[in-house]
Amino acid sequence: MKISASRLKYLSTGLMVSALWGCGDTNTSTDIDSVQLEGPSDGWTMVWNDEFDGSSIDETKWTHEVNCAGGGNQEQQCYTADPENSFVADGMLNIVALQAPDGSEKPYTSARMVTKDKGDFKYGRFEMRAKLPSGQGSWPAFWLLPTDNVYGIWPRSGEIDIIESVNLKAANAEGNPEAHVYGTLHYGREWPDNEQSGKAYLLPDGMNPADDFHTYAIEWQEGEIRWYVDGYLYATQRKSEVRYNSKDEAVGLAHKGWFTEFFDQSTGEKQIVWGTEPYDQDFHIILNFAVGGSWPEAVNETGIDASAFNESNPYQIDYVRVYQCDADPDTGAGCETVRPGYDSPDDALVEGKAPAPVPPSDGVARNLTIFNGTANPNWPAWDCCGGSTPEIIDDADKGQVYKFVVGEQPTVNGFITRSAFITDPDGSVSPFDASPLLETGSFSFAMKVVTAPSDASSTWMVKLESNEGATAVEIPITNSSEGVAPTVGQWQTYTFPLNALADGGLDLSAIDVVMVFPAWGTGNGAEYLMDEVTIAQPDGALPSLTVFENDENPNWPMWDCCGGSTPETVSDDADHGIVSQFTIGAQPTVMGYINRTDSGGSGQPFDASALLDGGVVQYDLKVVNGTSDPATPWFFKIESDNAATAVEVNMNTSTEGSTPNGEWQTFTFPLQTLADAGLDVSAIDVLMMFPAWGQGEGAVYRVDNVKIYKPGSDSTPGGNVMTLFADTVASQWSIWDCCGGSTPTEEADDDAHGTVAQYIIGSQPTVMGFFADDGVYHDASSEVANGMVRFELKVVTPPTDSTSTWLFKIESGDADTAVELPLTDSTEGVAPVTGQWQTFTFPLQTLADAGLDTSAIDVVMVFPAWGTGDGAVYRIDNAIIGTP
Amino acid sequence: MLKQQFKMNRLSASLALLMGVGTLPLAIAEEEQSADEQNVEVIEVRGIKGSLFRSMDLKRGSAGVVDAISAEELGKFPDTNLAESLQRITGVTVSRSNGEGSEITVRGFGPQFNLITLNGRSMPGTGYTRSYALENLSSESVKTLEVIKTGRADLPTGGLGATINIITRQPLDSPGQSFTLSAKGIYDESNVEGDDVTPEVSAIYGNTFLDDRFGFLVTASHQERDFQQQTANSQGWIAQTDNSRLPDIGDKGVDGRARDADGNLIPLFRDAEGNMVSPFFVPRDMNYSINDVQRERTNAMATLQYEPIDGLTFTADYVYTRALTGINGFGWGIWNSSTEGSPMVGYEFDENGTAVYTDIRGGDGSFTANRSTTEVNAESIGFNVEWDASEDWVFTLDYHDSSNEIDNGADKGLGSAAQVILGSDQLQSKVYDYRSGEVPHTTINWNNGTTQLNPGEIDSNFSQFIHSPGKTEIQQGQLDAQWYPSFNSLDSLAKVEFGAAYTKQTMTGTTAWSGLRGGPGFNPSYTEIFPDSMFHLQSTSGLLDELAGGGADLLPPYYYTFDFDEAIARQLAFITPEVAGENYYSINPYFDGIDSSNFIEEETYALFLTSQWAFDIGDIPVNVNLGLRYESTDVTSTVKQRVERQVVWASPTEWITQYSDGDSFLTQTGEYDVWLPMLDINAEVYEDVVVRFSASKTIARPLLGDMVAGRSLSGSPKIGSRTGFLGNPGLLPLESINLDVSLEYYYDEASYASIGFFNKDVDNFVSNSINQVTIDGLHDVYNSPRYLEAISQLEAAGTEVTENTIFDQMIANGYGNADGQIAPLSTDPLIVWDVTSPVNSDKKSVHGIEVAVQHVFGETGFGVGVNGTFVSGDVEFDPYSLAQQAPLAGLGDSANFQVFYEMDGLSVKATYAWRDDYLIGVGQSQGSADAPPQFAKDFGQLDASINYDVNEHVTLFLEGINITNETEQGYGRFEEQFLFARQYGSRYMFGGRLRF
Repeated sequence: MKISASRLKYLSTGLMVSALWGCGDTNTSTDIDSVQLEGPSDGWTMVWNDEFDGSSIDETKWTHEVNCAGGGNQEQQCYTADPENSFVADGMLNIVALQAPDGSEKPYTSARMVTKDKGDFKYGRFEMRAKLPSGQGSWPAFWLLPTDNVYGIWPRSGEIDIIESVNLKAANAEGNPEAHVYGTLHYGREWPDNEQSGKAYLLPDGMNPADDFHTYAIEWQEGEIRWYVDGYLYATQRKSEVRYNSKDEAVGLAHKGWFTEFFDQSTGEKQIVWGTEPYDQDFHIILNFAVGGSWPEAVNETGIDASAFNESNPYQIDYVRVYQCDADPDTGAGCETVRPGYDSPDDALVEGKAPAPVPPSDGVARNLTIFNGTANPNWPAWDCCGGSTPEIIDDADKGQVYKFVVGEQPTVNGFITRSAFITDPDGSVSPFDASPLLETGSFSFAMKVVTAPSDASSTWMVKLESNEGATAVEIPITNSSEGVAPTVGQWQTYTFPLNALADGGLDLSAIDVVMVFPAWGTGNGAEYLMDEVTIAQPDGALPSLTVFENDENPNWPMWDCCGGSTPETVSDDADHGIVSQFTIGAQPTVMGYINRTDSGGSGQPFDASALLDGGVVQYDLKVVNGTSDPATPWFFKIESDNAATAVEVNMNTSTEGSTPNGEWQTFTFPLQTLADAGLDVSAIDVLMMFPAWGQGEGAVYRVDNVKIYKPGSDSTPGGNVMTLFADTVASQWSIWDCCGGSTPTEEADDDAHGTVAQYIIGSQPTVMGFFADDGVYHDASSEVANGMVRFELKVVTPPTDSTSTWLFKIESGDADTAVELPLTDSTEGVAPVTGQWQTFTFPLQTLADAGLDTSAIDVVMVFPAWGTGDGAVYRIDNAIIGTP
Repeated sequence: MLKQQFKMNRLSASLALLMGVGTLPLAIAEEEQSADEQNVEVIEVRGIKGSLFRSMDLKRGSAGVVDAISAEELGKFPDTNLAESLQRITGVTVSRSNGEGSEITVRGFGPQFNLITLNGRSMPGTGYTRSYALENLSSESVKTLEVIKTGRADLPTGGLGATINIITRQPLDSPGQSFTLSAKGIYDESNVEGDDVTPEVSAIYGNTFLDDRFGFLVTASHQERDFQQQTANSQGWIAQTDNSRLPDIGDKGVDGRARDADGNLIPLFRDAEGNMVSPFFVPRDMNYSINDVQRERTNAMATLQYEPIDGLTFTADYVYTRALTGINGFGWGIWNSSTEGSPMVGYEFDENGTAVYTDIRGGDGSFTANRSTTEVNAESIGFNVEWDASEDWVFTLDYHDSSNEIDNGADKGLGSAAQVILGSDQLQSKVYDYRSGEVPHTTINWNNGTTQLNPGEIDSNFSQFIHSPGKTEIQQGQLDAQWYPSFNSLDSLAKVEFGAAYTKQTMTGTTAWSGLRGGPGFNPSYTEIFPDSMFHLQSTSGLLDELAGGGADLLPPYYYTFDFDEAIARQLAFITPEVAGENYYSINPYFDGIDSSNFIEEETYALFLTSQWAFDIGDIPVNVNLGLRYESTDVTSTVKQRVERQVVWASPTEWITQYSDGDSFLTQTGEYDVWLPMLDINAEVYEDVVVRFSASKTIARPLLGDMVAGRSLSGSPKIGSRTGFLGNPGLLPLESINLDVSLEYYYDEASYASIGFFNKDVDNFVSNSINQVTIDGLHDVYNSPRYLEAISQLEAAGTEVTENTIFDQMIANGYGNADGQIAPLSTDPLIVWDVTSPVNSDKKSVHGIEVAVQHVFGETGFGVGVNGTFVSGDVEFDPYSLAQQAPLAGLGDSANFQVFYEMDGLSVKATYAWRDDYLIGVGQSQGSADAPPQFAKDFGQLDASINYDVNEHVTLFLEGINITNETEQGYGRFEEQFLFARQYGSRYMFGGRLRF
């Protein structure tokens, strides 16, 4: 044992050494850098490929298209199956465009190979490694066409251009070598109304695709196609995303993407579809090298440089591979290779050309004046195809009127509200919803034919279109209620009841063109004037504005121009309740109500244009303390569009003719009178009532019931407002702490606010606000155009975390849709200031555009960003949804 | 040495009497060696019986109440883990971590009340704990574990419940060369990801030279263990007393709470104000997880001893431990954003208001990956001189410098502990169902119309990264003198021992937390950044199958796993500042700097004096041990924090605390001194019957978390709301007055029966209290001369005196600053703050009975041991009270049962350790403010081992741990308030031991 014991000594030492140093490998060893982020991701499995490693073109995969058709683009090649034009060599497919022998049908020969019926795919990753040919007139492409044209002929069944280029290395406008590649979709209505959308891309570092091999790919899945060059995603296109309200009515596009138009199998009607169509069917691959054609020949150095087309300038393709997404081959989704910005319109996302669905009518009858002496920026006068520009001229009878002419070129004339034709920066696309006017409204205009068409047989036509031409009605002018034909030199009025137009096939809900013209091709020589173009009913719903009635309208706060005072609300007699009280001190000033943002107003001036006929500005006024000189005159002043126009009148010029005194009196000023005195009634933003400047010291007076409206019309001032919180929370709503476990309370605040909601955030992350009872939803969809969510917030104690930001969040339909925005994105654009009441406004339109379904609002939240709110105490008051 | 020898002989004599010479075939009485021992006779015996015998001998021969376990021979300890061994001892229970004993509770006092020493030295704990982690030490190097339940003046303080002293071998204990090699394979049946069999190798080599005057002993061990932990977990329960928050949903709501004739709820609970209430309880979340754990521990110890002349021994030792724990975990579950109100679309409450079923809208469902590698490095270097200066005097000087560092950021690519949460909130509602079985089921009704989320719908929620390294160090010097006086006049005084000790303990730690990177929630959505192929659908059918409702019955029946690196890489690449603003993704735990940083230093000076007396009363030999220890402790704590500059009156209703730029360090100090007397009396009143009485005072030092300095004051200190929180380094230690009485009957060799009664009155329990304090430099505008001046002006003017008018008056008097606020002056009075602090408050009392029987059936080879502890305290948790409660955690009955057979080199042993339901602690991580409890269900574990001595040098063994695969379960106020269920599987070890 002696021997073994001494051996053991060494053994044991060795063991201990190994025990001490032979360990320490337990580690979770995260290695983020090893992750391969560029595609194709694991989920893609190659299902088809041609590596071009053989000695000839594999005819089980490719078919040569042999024709001289020019590809629909007036291209200058005949495609052949000749090995001179396409062959495999050194592991590459070469497509070579060559000059054709003299006397050939087209001056060049080339090749176009397709996989149709040999390789047809729905969804996947399509990848090609290739070096592109260069030269003026060269047009190589790697693209996909539908195999079965399920949705109709080109381009209704779609086309996907994975990559194409024209005139590489030819000089561009700046004289530099052309280097763009393009990824494009073609779709939409039948030619010539087809659409396309796509993106051009320049390789980094000034690389030219004709100099070396690069990888070009798309990932195509249901509803989305992404374009890649060397793994970099440079373009994303998507199906259109239709926004629906809770009644399942399409109300707009959340994303303007692709679309198609085809005949519905069940109804037989042609319709626009905003779905995954047409990119949801089998497509096949096309590789071709075109020469010339309308596009390449028109750009860069123009035409075709014949010297570029020879053996030494081939389109060389290393491989073409098609992958399928294993995650879900039916949709191709789940294998996406994306990067930040891939879905951002500022970056890779390409907007498509889908027309917006027409929102259903809100049911409110409005009148539209397309033209009546002044140009409506939303509805420019328009010559479709004749090349003239309609102009406004002075007519002895009507004043300013539009003059239209028709020349040799067949055309139609009229008024249009489509984006391509609106040039006035103030104009916007405003399809008119005339459906509420269906029963009583009509389209009418006054027209004087100055010169009749030279073609005596010409008849005058009226045409209206709706929704970018989706529906239209075209009828002879003699179909008007008046039933007369134009008489040269005479102003005549023509009236077309809307129900007749609707019967004729016009969708009244989105009228965007009205035309009056001699029948197509027969109008040469015609010259005619138009005025009083309206779509209206006799007594339509009219706008109105309540500036003050029982309480301040936060959009129109009380205002002391220059005296430094803060007008207050006081309680008056039973008839008047809460009224405004203005007190004039030693400092000369004027007082009243203001809508401008720098004075606390909402910055949404009132457009009283529709009230010109019969509308008034009206208020009640009572003097509590007179001025030192009882003879001091009192004035009413009204301003518009940031004081661009203003009218100041003595109060005794009101309709009532009275002078202010110690009793409540009403003062009424017809808008027409004010307009006549120079006021632009379309943007009223200040109303003032005051004793003459510098003479008012000591005056205390009260004003109430300040309105702009049309007496007798059935429009009652005051909008559709849902008050979430004002002194108490709305019934069936609660003041709410999501997750913090607290119960928000109602607290007394200053006099101006009374009882307000108070929220306290503790260490538990939470959000807070107003929460509708189960099953309770507020439908604000009818208020989207002009309405808003507005509230006043006072941060009592900011969150301990000084980096916290304040957010506004609104949810609808049990969180089906939600929008979260920083408070700084409010109309006011400010962040909360501790200790101050501040108003924050979010237009409903903005919220709807961001994806909110405004028809089922059930949560409104205001909170410091999640998890950062600890310590915050804040108050909310006067929270509303709607149009105040 | 005569006296000493005499004492020895007294013990030896009784030993010899007990054992009978040669009755134990393998017993080797080494009389010569025992002569080196000072006080406790240790006889090297082998086999289970020998081990039991020696433990019994230690118990019998001790002055106070001491239990012990000792290695029967070099390198063979009865259990692989020291904590597992300790649970064999009466009154000791262990709490488990990863299915292994980790921390011990003695007589109902948890880990923080016990002190673990190594060879009489205080050792640094891991992280912010005071307890030395038992699992960091290999059992192979340990000779004896002593559990000292009564006070001992000569030991470091801190063991209020007990002091556990780990005694390692010394080279000169066993002259000559010795070598032991043990190797085993650990088979953990739970393992999935790691190796099914992992090694544990240990070796001990010792030798002596120069006529056994120089010796060294080296031990080294390396253990690896791979296992899987399966858990179901709820992070807490939310109590709601406002029943108006309970929606009326018709027959979808079942409320089992009792109602009176009028239909009103009969309140069973009392809230913090003492009002009777009828709360309902809803879980905040429910989740399931699988953690694959890889653990490895390397432990080495080297001891050198040199005895240049007789009676003078120098000892130097070095202990090194490195432990690595790598965890890869996946969890999945539901989160209830709301636990009340209209989101609740279905519920069922039992008679106590506990939800056994809920169906709640909102919230989210998630799939979480967590990963970390934690490294612990502990080192200790020590030096000891023992000098038998004369026959009467022995002097000992002992010094050590030890450190323990923990780093949870040892993952090579992370530098932190990370959690990546993916999931979705695209759901209709989430169902929680605990109406049957032992594991609640959850089902999510997703918006996709099914109860299963598709891979393509999995979204980024958030990730978080935490790095919180810490280090504890102890330097300790102890000087000890033993005097064996020979007074003829005072013959009964056997020994006087006195000494002094200095201990300095420092603990430092920092925490850096990334915050919720990527921004919490699912808005905006990032589902597209993860390819579906990243997610792998898994079935839960094999999980938690030891529990009713688990395994194939478990709902949800699926979960997803994903590549952790890929999930991070994709979010890192996509969720950039351009996309996400401030919420951008980062894996840096120091994203916004260090979140907290703190430091505590404790310095203690101690003096002690003990005396041992031995005399006879009639025929009855009596031993008395009388001692006193004095300690003085200084505590310094420093934390990094914001510094308040001043409080301004900003507006009539606003007071704002303004801070100086940058952080600063706040230092607070505390000090205390204690006198700790002790008295042990034992008497052999009848042959083999020992009666014991002990009285002592012991302490436990305050929890480190309570002692960390750190002050936070309200940022908006309005009058009446000047509040704050302050840590309290000045906390006093808990003091316990202990009384022990026991009766022990050593009726046969290795057989005895004992019964003991104990009572502990513990003072200085910690609770939160509010104190009014002022802070230098923070002056108050309120009641300042300017303030009072304004009041008198207002009164003179006949104006109503309100906050508003005072403020306006002070502004009018010109006291406003440029911002229109009123700032304090240094001549203003100091602000009086209501500051909440942990303070020493109430007193608790625990008493109990310990019984133990150990019996060897003659020469049959069979033996049995049973012990039990039955404790009760005067403060227990009342589940029907919603007030803050401070009961004694850990209190509960426990029992151990052991049977063995040992004959002819074969030994077979089975042990069963049982612990009754007990309170783990108060407060649940996501519980509501009423601080609900966490209770553990009773737990029993069966272990068994077989040893076979092939020959003198070789032993083969097979051990099984938790053979019946018991699970651990926990609950809140009631068993229906599920908190956790954990399943670890059984473990088997097989191997051999070689010794020479």
